[in-house]
Amino acid sequence: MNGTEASSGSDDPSVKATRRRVLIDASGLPSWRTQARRRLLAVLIAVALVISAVLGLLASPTAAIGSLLATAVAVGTYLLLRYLLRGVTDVPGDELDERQRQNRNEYFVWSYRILGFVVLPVLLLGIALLNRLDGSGELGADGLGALGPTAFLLVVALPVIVAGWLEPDEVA
Amino acid sequence: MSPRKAKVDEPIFNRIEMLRAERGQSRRDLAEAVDVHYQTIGYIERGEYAPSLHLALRIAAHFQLPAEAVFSLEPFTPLSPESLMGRT
Repeated sequence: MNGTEASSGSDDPSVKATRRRVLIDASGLPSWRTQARRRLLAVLIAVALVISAVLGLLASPTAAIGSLLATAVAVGTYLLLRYLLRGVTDVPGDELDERQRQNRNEYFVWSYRILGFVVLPVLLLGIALLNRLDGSGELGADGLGALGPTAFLLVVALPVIVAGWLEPDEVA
Repeated sequence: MSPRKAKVDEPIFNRIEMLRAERGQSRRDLAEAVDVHYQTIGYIERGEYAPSLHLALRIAAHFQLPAEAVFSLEPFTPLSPESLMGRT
């Protein structure tokens, strides 16, 4: 049984409802609050991060600029998606009800699974492969250096990407 | 009963929408009264979310009805004059 929202404080219900409305019910960009558009943004972030990582591994100034641009696109899209999902990933747990908390827990669980079972193995395998192809034995360290910011961004953005993908359409 | 997404093979039916309509209450009114987000009321009404026992009892208490009058494992039958007469 989950009754924490009933005991999360002695607030007046109308005050709490108003606070919830301000915190969670973002009013901007209503046409972008559909699951289809959120999924589009989630894919865009993931693709931009992959492009950023791949370009980051190439040792050329042009590729570095491309990597920076891709990172900027990923960050911008991440901020937009986070805004559209306001409440799901940002709001303190006390302001969420049982369904929203359950959803948020699910998104974080999926994020950990994806990080542990997909991202990390692909990352390590990719670096090992590049290291072998390069033959110098130094690409691994360089690759890790280049992938560091992208990996950090991915860890930060993954719960938002997952939430953007899984959060259902709002009830009309 | 822990809160969960409603499973297709384990549906929980409810009369919340009808009870709200009878009382002239919006989803936001009910949500505020039982301390949840109004979208959660919508998902419960559509059978897409199965509330916790605690929330189900709070909703029933709000309507001053027993829980089984609001929630059911079987689809609710329409309230026809005959069925109402049969109860009295």
